Amino acid sequence: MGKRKQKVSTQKSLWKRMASGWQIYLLLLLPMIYLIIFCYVPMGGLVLAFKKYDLSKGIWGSPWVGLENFRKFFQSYKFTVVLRNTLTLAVYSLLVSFPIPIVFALLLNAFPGRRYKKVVQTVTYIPHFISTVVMVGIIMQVLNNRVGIYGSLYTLFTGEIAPDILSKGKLFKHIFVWSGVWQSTGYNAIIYIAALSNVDQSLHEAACIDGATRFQRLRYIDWPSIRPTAVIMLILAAGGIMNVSFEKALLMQNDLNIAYSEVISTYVYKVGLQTGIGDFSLSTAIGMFNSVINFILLVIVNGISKRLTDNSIF
Amino acid sequence: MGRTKVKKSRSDLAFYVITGILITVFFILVLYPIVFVVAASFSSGDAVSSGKVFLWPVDFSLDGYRTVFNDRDVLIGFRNSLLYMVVGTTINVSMTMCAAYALTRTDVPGVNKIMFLFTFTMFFSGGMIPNYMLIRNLHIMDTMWAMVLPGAISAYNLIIARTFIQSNIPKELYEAAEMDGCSDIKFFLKIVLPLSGAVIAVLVLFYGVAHWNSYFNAMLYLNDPEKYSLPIILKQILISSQIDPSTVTDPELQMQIARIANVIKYALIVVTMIPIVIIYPFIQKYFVKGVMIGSIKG
Amino acid sequence: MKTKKILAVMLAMGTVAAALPMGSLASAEETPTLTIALSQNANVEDYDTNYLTQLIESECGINVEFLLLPTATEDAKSKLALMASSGEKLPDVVCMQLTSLEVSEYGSKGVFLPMNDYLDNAELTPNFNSIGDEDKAAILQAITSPDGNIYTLADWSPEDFNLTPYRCWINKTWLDTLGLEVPTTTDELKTVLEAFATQDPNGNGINDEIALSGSVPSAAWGCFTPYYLMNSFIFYNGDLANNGLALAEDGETVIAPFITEEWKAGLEYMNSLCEEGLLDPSMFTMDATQFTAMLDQTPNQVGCVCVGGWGYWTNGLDSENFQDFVLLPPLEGPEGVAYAASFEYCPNFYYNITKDCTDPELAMKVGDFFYRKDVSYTTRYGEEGVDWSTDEADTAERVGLYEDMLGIPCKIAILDNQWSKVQNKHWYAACPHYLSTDDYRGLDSMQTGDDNRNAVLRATSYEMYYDAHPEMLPTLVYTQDEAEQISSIATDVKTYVSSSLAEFVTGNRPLSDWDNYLEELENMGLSYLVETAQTAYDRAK
Repeated sequence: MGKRKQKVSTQKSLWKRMASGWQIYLLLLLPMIYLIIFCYVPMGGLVLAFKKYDLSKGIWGSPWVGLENFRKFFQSYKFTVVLRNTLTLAVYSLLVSFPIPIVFALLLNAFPGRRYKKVVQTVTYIPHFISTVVMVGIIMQVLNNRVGIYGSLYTLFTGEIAPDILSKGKLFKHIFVWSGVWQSTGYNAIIYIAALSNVDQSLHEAACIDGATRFQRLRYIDWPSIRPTAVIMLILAAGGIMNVSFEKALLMQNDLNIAYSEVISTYVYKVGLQTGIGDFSLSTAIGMFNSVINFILLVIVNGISKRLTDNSIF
Repeated sequence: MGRTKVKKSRSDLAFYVITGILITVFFILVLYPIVFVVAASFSSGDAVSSGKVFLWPVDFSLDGYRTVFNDRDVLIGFRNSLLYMVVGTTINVSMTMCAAYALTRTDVPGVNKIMFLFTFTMFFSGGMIPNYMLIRNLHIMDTMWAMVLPGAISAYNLIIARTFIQSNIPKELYEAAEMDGCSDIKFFLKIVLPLSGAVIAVLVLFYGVAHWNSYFNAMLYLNDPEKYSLPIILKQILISSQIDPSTVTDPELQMQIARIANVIKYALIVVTMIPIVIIYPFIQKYFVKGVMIGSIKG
Repeated sequence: MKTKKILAVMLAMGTVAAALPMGSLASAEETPTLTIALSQNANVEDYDTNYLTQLIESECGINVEFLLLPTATEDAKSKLALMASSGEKLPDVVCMQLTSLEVSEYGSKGVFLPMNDYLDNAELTPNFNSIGDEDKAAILQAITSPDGNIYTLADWSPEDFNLTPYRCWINKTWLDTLGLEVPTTTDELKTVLEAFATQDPNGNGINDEIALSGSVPSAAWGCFTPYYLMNSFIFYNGDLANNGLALAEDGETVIAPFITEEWKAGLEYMNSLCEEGLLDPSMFTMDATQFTAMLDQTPNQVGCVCVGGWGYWTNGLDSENFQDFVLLPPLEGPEGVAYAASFEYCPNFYYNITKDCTDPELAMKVGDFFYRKDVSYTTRYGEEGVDWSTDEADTAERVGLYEDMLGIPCKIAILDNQWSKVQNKHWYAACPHYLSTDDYRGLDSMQTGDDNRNAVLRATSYEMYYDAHPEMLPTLVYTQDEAEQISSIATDVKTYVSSSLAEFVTGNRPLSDWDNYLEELENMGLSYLVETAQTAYDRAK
């Protein structure tokens, strides 16, 4: 956003620029106090990743173990499988659930029926609030090959018992990702719907006079106006890539899909169950591993985006 | 002219039809879990736990709702959650908007670095133990403040708000205002805020929803049942409706307990969703088209 | 605020409130206070006004205050760990279910106080010390940590029905329709299943019969059919204890049953059932809801199924479909093996006194109070004389659970069942208590009329399953170090064994891959797991 231009136009000294921006610092005062007290003061706890936590000694008194916690995790038998599953689900999920809400928002925005639009918006947003346990229960029930809707319809049309798709491990990722789309597209589209509402109507009016079709207006007016938002959301999504829903994965696991459904978080949870009081050190270390990957991805995508589209977080 | 109009409207019609079909198909698909939950909430616990409920209530029963509305804990939780949501969201939105606007002003030294500091917290946090100790040391354990202060600014929402301001409020507007001798804070209050209706609405929604669903902080920081939020109550019910045969000693007895929970589980979910569903149409009002037009032209 | 709450409850349930002694509350100032942390149960109305709480307060002369921890076990444990590690003042007593490892870790770190001396002192803990020698020795052995200290009090209610959950049922109506006998061997079972699958025994003209069904262990209790069938080849506890390990015939060596040739033979058998479409592979994926839906289909679609309790049929014992079924004994395999998946009863740990307790002796007195016979009944059945009674006038007209089979008459009459509902009589048994096997067997069968099916089925199950096992590996107690060493191995092995079983049985993986399976287990560290178990076993002997 015209950074070079800025540099030329504001050749004042650093001190002067700071002084003239005092009101900006004032606006940032409370947020900064919050940031320091609630985020950076407790951040010292991250050292736990390099310690063996002893609850009688507290965080600072616990002995250092260096990279032992990380080694324990990397060397565990399942590490590669679990990492592969996590990445598969994460990338697949990103590829599918990132664009769909955009398309949904664009189409919904282009649709003429005002009232219908509002109803659709409200209804599609609700499933986000159905708790995971219940949602997984619904998924299982719908997809059951005998008593579920899927099974009943299949039998109705073919007269045969439907194949059991829940027992096919390879299908797990599809069920996992698409049920996520099912549940959260409406909610994720909100941000785009809001952005679309700010599109200058005069642009549309002008385009109409020029004889543009609705699709052309979507393509050349609506889409460009939400593109900056979409880019930022993509950067944020890349930075959250390792956060595969723990509860949902755990609840959807069965013996026939475990080879595909065991992700880092579910695995750590199961190991933790075997070791008495939760291993805070190991979970901090694994959390840190996830965060580092997320952070690196965010920085990379942010950098690429800065170059290509001039949109970036920092 | 006339011919192009016809052509245009014909291709528009096709577009609208396809769009309509796509939206409707998705709408119906998404409607299903909602219909299921509502139908289950009006069914008997046995019908639900034996998978008989698909589209409409089976063994119609109001037991679930009766239990929910007679349960004092649910009412207390409802009240508390509303309070935490309103207070928390107010703090969130005002802090986030202040920070978001300030952080768009990259011409002020240090602002970019502060942005980075915020982004960093999206990934790294101290974890449960230091956070718990912080809340204890601030002496806000078991108070409303433990529910509304941690997470007062979410970096994620901050970035959304900042992006919005950056892309919707032209630099020229600020430069023009500066010429007129408008101070930063005045500009923020008089121009940025009024123009940010849509993003404020989004923030209210995102933060509000997060508060409404917040379980973890409530679980860790609240001890007094009089202060419990609704998700704690909901989780209590959900937990007792699940049976994990590996951790219970007497699964047969547990099964009986699960059956009671099934009666009220879905009614409680419906009751929990109602405020969230009611809020949305109000929020939608702020997604008003063309807020920008007047201000730029004027 | 407390009085406000009590008032509200009193209004809500005037009858119970009227029966409560109000005096104990008025004099709360002078009486000592004991703070108890517990994981709250959503089905307990109000812990403060709960009948059991009132009983403790009036009989022990104390005032009980609660620190309510979250309902979800995981969350409650996290919160406890946070409180302990942030140096916060702990409540006097932690009364929630913990594992032996957690107890010994808190104990060895000084968070929980040792109780050995108190338990030795019969004056201080008269009720605990009046438990019969055999049971007392068993409880003591279970609650003693590897460091020799006792940090916890346990419950004891070895209901034998729960110790052999993998029970199999067969559709007698179908057998009769087809003129077949109840199978006694795995081969006979296969013949019967073939008939079920092909001869349309439910007579609706559609080939919708599911010959053999079940559900996953993580979702439904005792419904995983492969564990039932596997015990016709080799004894396997169904992963109910000790990570699935067992004791060899010599009674000395710890072995892993799932790497034996017998196990492989079992897999081959089940695979052949699956290949012929007799074993429904959805038993590996169905959760309890779909399972129940399937059992409830009209007409009955299920021929043979493994189910821990009849609760999986809607309406349980009264379910129409359930009337078709009879219990199948453990089947005899080709080598003459006929075991039932069983495990040794292990008490749960509930009551711990913390380092911040102001009066440990008092806390101990309250802990011991739970073991008083009538209090133990109260923790499970509610108020004496109102919800249950041992009065002969009440018990005489009732039938005992084991009366038909073992001739044990009813000793406890259940007047008003306080279990499967929201109630304010007890804490849903989440506290120490003691019920001997005899007490349990003298329980009211809660059946009215001539049909005493509950009692008959339990007794049948007892006869068929209870003793059908070789010498079992007792529940092993690991040290903290050992537990840490084996934690990820145990997770890997258990997951791999059960997922491989599913794959082998469904044919997703050919049995020719057996050697790879063994190799894989070895790579995971199975030998180390077995060795560690051996060490723990030798130490306990």
